[in-house]
Amino acid sequence: MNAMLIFRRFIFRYVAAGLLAIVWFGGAGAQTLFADGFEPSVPSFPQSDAEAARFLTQATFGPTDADIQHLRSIGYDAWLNEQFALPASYQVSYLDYVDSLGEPVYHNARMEAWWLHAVQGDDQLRQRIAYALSQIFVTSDTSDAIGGPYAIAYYYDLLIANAFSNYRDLLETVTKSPAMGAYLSMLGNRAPDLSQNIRPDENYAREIMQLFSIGLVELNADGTPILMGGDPVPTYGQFQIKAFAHVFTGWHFGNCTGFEYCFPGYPEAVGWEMPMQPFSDSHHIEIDGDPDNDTLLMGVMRPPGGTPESNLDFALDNIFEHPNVGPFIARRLIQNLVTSNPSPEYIARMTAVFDDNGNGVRGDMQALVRAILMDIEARLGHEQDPTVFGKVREPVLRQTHLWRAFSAESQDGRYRNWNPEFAFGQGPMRAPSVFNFFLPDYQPPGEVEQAGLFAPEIQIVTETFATRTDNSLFWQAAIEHAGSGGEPYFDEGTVVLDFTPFLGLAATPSTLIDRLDVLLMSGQMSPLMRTTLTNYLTNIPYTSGDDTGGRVRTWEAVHLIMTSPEYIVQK
Amino acid sequence: MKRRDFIKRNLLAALGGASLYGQFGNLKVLQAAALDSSTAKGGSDYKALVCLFLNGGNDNINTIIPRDNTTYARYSSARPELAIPQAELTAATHITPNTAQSDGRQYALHPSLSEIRNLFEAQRCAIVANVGPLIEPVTRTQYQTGSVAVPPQLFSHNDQQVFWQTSRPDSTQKIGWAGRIADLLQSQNTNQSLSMSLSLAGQNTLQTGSTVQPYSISANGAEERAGYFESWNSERRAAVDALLDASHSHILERAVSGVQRRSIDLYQDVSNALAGVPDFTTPVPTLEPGFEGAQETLDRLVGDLRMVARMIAAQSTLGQRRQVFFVDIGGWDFHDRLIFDQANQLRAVSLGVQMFQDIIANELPSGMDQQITTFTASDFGRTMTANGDGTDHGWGGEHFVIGGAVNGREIYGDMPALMLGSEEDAGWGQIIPKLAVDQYAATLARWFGVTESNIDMIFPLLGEFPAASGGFVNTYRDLGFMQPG
Repeated sequence: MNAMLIFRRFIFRYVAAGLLAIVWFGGAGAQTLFADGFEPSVPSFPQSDAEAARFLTQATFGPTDADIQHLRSIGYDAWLNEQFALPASYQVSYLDYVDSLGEPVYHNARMEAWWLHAVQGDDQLRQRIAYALSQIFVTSDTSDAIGGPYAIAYYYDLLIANAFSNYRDLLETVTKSPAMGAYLSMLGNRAPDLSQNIRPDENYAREIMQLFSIGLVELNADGTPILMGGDPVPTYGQFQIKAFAHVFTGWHFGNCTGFEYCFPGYPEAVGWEMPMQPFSDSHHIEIDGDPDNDTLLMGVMRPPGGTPESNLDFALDNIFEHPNVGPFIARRLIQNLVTSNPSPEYIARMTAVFDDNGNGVRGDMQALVRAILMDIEARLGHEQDPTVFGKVREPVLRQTHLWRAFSAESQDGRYRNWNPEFAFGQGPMRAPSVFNFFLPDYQPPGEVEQAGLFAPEIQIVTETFATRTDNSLFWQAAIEHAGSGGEPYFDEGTVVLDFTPFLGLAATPSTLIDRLDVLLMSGQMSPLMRTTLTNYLTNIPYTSGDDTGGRVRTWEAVHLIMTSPEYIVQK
Repeated sequence: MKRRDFIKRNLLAALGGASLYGQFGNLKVLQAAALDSSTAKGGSDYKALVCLFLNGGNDNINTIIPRDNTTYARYSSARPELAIPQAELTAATHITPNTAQSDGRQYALHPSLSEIRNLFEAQRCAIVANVGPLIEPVTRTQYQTGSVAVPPQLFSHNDQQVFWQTSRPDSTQKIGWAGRIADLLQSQNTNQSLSMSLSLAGQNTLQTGSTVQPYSISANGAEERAGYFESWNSERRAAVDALLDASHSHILERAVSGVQRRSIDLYQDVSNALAGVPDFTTPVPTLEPGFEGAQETLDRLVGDLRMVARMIAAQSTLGQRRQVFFVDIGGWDFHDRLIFDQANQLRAVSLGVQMFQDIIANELPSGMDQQITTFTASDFGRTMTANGDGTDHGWGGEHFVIGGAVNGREIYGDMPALMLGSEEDAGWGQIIPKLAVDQYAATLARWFGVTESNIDMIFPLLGEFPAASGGFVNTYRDLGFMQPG
C-alpha cells in the first residue's frame, strides 16, 4: 500500500468520525478541516485508471476507455464543469426523428431514446441524474392516464433540463407537468363541491410530501429520525394533506379553453407537451381561514385569497423550506449513484450543501451533485468500509455498461431494447407505481436486515430476474459480437459488441483480465476471482476453429465478470 | 404483563432498534415448534392458500353495493357522481347471504363480478366485511383525539400494504404473516430446499419470514441459467460456481449470490416437476366487448393463476404439503376514472378467479377444491366521498374468500352503513375497520393447520379484539368463514 493511500485512509477514518477535528481543532467540523487545507485527501485527479473508472461508474452509465483517459487528463473538477456545461440530449427530438422516418411513434421509440442517450450521450452526468430523478419523481408509461410516448418523453426531458437546476424549480416543473398531473391526478383536480360530497383529490398532496420532498418523519440534518419520547415525529397528518389537496386544485391541460371538457388536443395532443394551466374558477380559495383546510407544513397557514399560481407558489415554497428536503433528497441521490448505506456524516455534509451552496442559495442541484460525487466517502468509502460500502447495480445499468464498455452499435445506430423489463425487472419510466421498482428502505431478509442495512435494488433481484439478467448478458456476450458466427441472424437492429481492442490482450489471459478488471470492476476484482477467471481462460485455446485469436476468451471473460456477485455489487 | 404494556414495550423496542426477533416472541420457541411435526393438524393432508393482492387499494364501496332503498340512498348521497345506478343492480347481481345483515341491508356485487357473485350464491365464496389494519379497537372519537394507538401512516400506500401483509402495525419489522406461518410449517414439507412460499410477484412482505423466504417464479415457471447445465458446459459451470460460491466478504455480494445460487439450484427440481404437468385444457377466458381495457390485467392474472394451478398439480412431486402463493394485481388506485377502470379490473378478476376454480374442479384430483383457498387483500378501502371522478385512500374494506372449504354465501362482520360523519367515519370518509387483519389472517391460518399456541405467537395482537358483532363471527380468533380444517 502506498503512502498516499495510507494517508487518505487515515484522514478519512478520523474526519468521518469527527475525531480528528476535535483533537486538532477543538471541535471544528469537517468542513472547517477541509477549508484548512486537508481537502487534497480527495485528489483532484484520479490516481489510476481504476480510480477513474470507479468515479465514472458512479457518474455515468458506465466507464469507457476513452472516458477514463479523458478524466485522467483533465481531473475531476474540469470533468464536472464540462459535464455541467454540455448541451442536453433530449428525447422528444428523438421521437420526432423516428416520426420523420415515417414510422409510428410508440413507447418503443421513447425507450430507444433512453438507451441512445445513456449509451452514447456526451452529457452522461446529466442523463444519469435525470434517470435518478425519474426514480424519485416517478411517472410511468404503464399508466393509462398518461397519453403516450410524447407525454412521457416530454416529462423526461423536463428532468433532463432540470437535472442541474434548483430543486425548487424542479419541484415546480414536475408539479405543473401534465404527465405528473395525470399520473397523480392533480390534473383536473377541482375545488370542493360539498353538495356533491366532492373533495379535492389527495393523491398528489400525499405523494409530493411522502416521496418527492420530505418523507414521513422529521429528520435530523444527517438523515436520522428526530425522536421525541423515543418516537419518530410525523412530518404531516391528514389535515396537511387536505390543505395541500385544496391548493392543488384548478389545473388542467395547457391547451384548453375551459376546465370542463378539457382534453390534450387532437390529433397532435399538444396538451401533453406544455405545462398545465390554472383555472381560477376551479381553484379552491380560502376565505374563512378554516384551519381544517389551510394548515400547511411547520404550522404555516395558507393565506386567504390568492390565485392558483400564487397559492401553488406558496405551498411549494412551504415544502421547499422544510428542513427534511436536504437529507431526504441527498440520501436518495447518494443511494442511486454511490452507496445504499451512506453514513450520517455523509448525508449531513450534503444537507449543508443543499441548504446553502456557499453563495447563500438553497436547493442548488448542481452543487449537490458535485458534492455527492466528490465527497470523501464517495471517493474512498470502499477503502474505509470495504464490506458494506456500495450498492447493487441496477440491471439496466449493467446493460448500459456492457454496451458502453464495448462500443456496441447497431447498423442504423438505434438501440431497440424495447422491453427491458422482461430481462431486468425494470425499464426506464416503466415503474409499476409511484413507489418505483424498489424502495429506498428495502431490506432483504436475512443478514442485511439483521445488520440494519438497506439494499434497494435487491428488491427486484429475484430468482426469476437474477437469472434472466445473467442470461441476457451471457447471450449478448456470446452471440452479439463480430465473428461470433451469429452474424447470419443479425439484422440492422442487432446491437453488436466490439471486442477488437481486447483480442490481442487475450493472448495472455491475465492481461485481458487486468484490463477488464479496470473497465468493468474499477480494479476491485478479488485474487480468487482473478485466479478462477485466468485458469478458465487459459484452458480455452487462443485460436480455434473460427476464432482467429482471443474472441472466445474475451466473450467468456465478459459474461463471467458481468454475472459475478463481485461485479454486481458496485463498490 | 398487561397486553397494553406488551405493545408499548414492543413499539419502543422496534423504534429503538432492539434485538431482531423481539417482536415475535422467542425465535427459539418458533424454531422448536417448526421442527415439531405435530404443529400441523393431520398427517398427510395438502393445503394451499392463494393471496390475490389488489395493489393500490380497491374501492370496496362500489364492489359490494347496497341495494335496499335506505342504504342505497345513503350510498348515492355519499358519492352522487360515482354511485353505480340502482337500475344496473339487476337480480343477476344480487347476493342473498344465508344470514342477512341487520336493518334490512341488502347487497349486490358490481355487475362486472358476475362469476364471483355466482360463486357466492353457490356457497363457494364468502365476504368479510370492513376489515383493516388495527392495533386495538378504535372509535371515531378515539381516533380523532388520538387516545388509542392506531397504525402509523394510515392512508399511505406502502405502509398500509405492509401492515396488511404483516398484521403488525405495532412493529417496524417487515415480517409477513404468511412468512411467519412458513417459518412454522416449512418443516412439514418433505422438500426442504424449496420454500413453501411461492411468489408470482417477486419480493413481497406477506411471505417474508424470519427463516423462510419466498421463492419467485413467473408465469413461465422457473428460469434456466443459460450455458450452464449442459454436460458440455461443465467447465464453465465450474467457473460460475466458483464465482458464486466464494466466501464473499461484502455483505451485499452474499445477498446477491444467495439469490443467484437458489435460482440455479432450484431450477431443475421445479422445471422437472412442472414438465409432468401439461398446461390445462380449461380455456383462457375472453373479455366481452366494452372490457378491452381489462386485457392486460386479465392476461397477467390468467398467466399467474395457471402457473399457480400447475405448481399445485405438481405439489406431490415437489414434496410440498403446504403452499402459499402470492399473486399481485396492479391498477386499483382509483383516484381517477373509478367507474371505467374498476369495471375493467373487476371483470378481469372475476374471469380469472372463475377460470382458476374451473381448473381446480375439472383438472386437479377430485377433492382438491377443499384444499385450496383463495383470498383477496389490498392496501386499504377507499373513501365514501369522491374527489371528482375518483376516490381517495381509506382504511377498512371488504374481502372475498373463495374455495370449497369456505363457509360461503355469508357476509362475515358488519357492512359499513355508509353514513358520513357517523361513528364509522374516521373523519374524511375513510371507514374505520371493525375487524382486524389479524382476525382475517388467523382464520385462514387455523384452517391451514397452525395450532392455537402458534396462532398466538404469529398474531400477538389478536387478543386485543373482541368477537365482532353479527351472527357469523364465532370467536375473536376465528371469524368462522372457513370450515374446520
